[in-house]
Amino acid sequence: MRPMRIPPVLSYVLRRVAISIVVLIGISAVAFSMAYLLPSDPVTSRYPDISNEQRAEMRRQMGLDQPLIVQYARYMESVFRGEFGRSLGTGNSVGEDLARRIPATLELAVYGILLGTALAIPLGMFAAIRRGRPTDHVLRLVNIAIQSVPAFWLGVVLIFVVFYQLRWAPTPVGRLSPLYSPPPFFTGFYTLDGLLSGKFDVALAAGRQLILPVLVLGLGVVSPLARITRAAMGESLGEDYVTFGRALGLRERQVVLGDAFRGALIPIVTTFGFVVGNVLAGAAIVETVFSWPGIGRYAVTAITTSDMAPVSTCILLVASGVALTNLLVDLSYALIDPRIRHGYGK
Amino acid sequence: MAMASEIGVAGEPMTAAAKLPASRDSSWRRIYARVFAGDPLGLAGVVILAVLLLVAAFGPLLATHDPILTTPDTLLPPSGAHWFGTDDFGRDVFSRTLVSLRIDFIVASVGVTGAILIGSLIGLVCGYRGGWLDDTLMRFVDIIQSFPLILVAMVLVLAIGPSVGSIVIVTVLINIPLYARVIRGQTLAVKHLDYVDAARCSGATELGIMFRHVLPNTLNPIAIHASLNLAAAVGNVAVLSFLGIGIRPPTPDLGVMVAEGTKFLVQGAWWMSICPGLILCTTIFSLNLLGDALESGLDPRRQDR
Amino acid sequence: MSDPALFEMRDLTIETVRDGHRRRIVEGMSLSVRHGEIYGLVGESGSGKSISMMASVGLAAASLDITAGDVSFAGRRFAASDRRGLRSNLSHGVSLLFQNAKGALSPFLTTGAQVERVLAGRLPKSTCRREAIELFRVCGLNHADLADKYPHQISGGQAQRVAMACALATEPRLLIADEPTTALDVTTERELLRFLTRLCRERDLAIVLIAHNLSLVAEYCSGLTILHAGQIVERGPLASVFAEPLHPYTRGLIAAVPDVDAPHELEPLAGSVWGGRSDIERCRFSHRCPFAQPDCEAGVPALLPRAGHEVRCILYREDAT
Repeated sequence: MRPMRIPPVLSYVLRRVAISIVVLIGISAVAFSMAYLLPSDPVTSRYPDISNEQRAEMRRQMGLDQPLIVQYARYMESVFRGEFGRSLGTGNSVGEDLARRIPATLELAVYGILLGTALAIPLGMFAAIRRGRPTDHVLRLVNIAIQSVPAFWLGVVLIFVVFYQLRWAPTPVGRLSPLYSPPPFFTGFYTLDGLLSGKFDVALAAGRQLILPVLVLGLGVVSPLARITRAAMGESLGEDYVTFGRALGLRERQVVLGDAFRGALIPIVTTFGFVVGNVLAGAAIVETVFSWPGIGRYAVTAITTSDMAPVSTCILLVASGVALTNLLVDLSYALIDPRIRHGYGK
Repeated sequence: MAMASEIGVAGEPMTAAAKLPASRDSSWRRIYARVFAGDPLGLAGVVILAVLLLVAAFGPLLATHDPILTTPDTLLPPSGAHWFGTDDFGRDVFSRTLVSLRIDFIVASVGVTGAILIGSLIGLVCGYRGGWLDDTLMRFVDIIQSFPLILVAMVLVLAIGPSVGSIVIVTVLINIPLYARVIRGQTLAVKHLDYVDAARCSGATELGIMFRHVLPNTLNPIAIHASLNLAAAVGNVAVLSFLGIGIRPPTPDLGVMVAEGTKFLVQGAWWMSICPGLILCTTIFSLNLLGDALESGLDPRRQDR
Repeated sequence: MSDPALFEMRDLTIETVRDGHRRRIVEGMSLSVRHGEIYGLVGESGSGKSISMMASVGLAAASLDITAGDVSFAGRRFAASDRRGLRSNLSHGVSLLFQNAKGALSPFLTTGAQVERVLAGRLPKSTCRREAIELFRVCGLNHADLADKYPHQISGGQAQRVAMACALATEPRLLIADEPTTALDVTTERELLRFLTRLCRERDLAIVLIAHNLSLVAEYCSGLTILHAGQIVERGPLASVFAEPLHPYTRGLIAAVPDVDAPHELEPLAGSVWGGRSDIERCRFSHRCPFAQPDCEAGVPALLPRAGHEVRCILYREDAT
């Protein structure tokens, strides 16, 4: 009898999934211990005026006297039940708070990543094609300049210039001016929901509200993405298959976009885990500057007020998002490169 | 045995490993001279950075006013007397910016130096020894790197207790993984090169090989990453204080100044936020220019292109 | 020799800057190929043979300066520095074959798709599949077996034949084959070269065969040019050059070829291609030449007609015909 053979694609996928699970467990452990680092005691913060005996009793009831590993196991159990504890700041369960805030951050992050990618990839490709020539040097300078402007300051400058001076932007507070009521929930994206429900004025208002924060968030990822695109394209443009494609009289478009870009795609998508992490971390700053009701601002507020449950949940959420993106990135390798799909190399 | 001209970046194996430059001093000087001679942008970065460092070092002497003295001249726009205007307490924004620059530089560079020392040691040992130690530490690095560093930094600062010292410690902690990874890759790339084997055959101890033969090869990648990382660290210190964590008023800090200034934008007092921010951008910009020049100049794969 | 040349390269000069010195890596390179001819271009690695042929189709690296020369193909003449013009020849009858066929095929497309992609440049979409099947057959490949495979799934010899099918898809009249067999084993090498010879006869295809192996050239080419350090050292009809090799370098190359019929001691060539600055005017072979004399340093010898072909060496400068 022949031993069962696992197709290379499947074994590749299974291995990646297994690695991600290990990473996720590690992430949850770190997120759990993060919360314990904060200088606050859940009992003292909830019941400030109780005696030491009462406090010890409360701690026992809440399981805080158990060994850390037991506490971690309980924590994980409740995470799987979808219970993340209660926020002392808002008084709601963290799950509820997040459900309301996640769409706001996602809308910001998705548009930000789209904008950043749409700017960075052509920029990097163009620099690679013009490598070593004046265009390349100018683009390099632009790239370094973009990288050197901190998001929080850029946000402040944009608010001052575009809102206070030019009066082009709407009041930079929140997702939607109070003149409009939010559209019915389909996707959680106000712009899309506005369009889907036929409330075009709401979609437009939400879009105008998004412009500045999305710009700040998007510019934040341009530099690393453009840098890697330039380097990867520079390498793949020198590959024999690119020269041979040209030698066969294929159009330059076909050679550059079809072969060279595809050859450069793996290093480019590899940075996406990093890009997503950057955007989600950047959201904490951008949301603070633009008073955006998302998880970034929620986390910042929770951290500054030592509100344990939201802190560990937000950190867990963002890190899991990055880990899942990394998994998707790994899986996309198999789509991009048939050599990986067939179990050759890399 | 200096191998300054043979160094690749982060895990890239190198060719022509057997060539030895005449002496370390002359080759280092030659390489850095070439990096900046051929690169006006890199040179510009060095010049701007040097000016900023001088300003930071002699800040208190250059300050035109007392940076923490409150006066009745509140919210004055920039003028000959107050180059960056005054803030809501009538303090001179320019003088405050000079003093802040010094604190931010010290915090960022002490933090990055600490991260380099500890991270390099971890990377060197992991790469050189390999095995379970390497596997475990590198998985841990993977996990750490999927966390949103700003949020982690905020939690850590609060856990240690907000102060300038804790920001330094946190800067060290969050940057250790970067150097551990870079140096590990570099160590893996050189540890089996002929000259290392030769040293081993001639009876050098493992510790001696690690520090005398492997470590010098990691200096160029460290130089590249350190300048880019320093730029990021200056930005992060400012972000933390902007978000109200870490350096707190009345100690002047660029992030704090930008944050405080936002309250007065509505009155048109833009200089409180924008002027210190411009200096912050210039600082980060010069470090990034420097890092980019080092990166393109020191990477052997790029030289012939 | 009355019919005009299909391909002619005149006086090509290529320079580049390396380590702060301007270096001339190809100098005064000329080459002429007739319809249906197989012409050999021989030299060590670094002699400039590949670079000059790549430059002749506008594919030289951007860091190289093409400072002089022109190239004509099928009656159209372009300055050698006109990369765009030269590249237009690639869709009008010039094609290439590389040493590393697996690396030359796109790793992201099946072999069938690669051939069809080239065909789509000049044929309506509906006929591409049929034509691709025909090209696979011409190249001795089974379309049903191979067309759905990716380059990494086939052998080196098959890859070179797929590359061949891609090249033939442009209907070339000139094929520049840059060491097409170096990566293959000896039997596959023979097969491929016999196949190329047959194509020349059947399709009136001319080939420039770039090789570092003189015995291949001796077997298949009608004429050859020998390059050393970017200069032509000897060239002419094959019979004449082999009957009376004049340049010490050519003699060295021939002495390094094993010959079954007349066994002789193989003599390796000493030294390597001169890597010094090429703006210094002297014979570039003298440092490895057994016949070197002080005059060799005096200047670059001229390429002079001797014994039915041409040679660049001061040993032959006195008119001794």
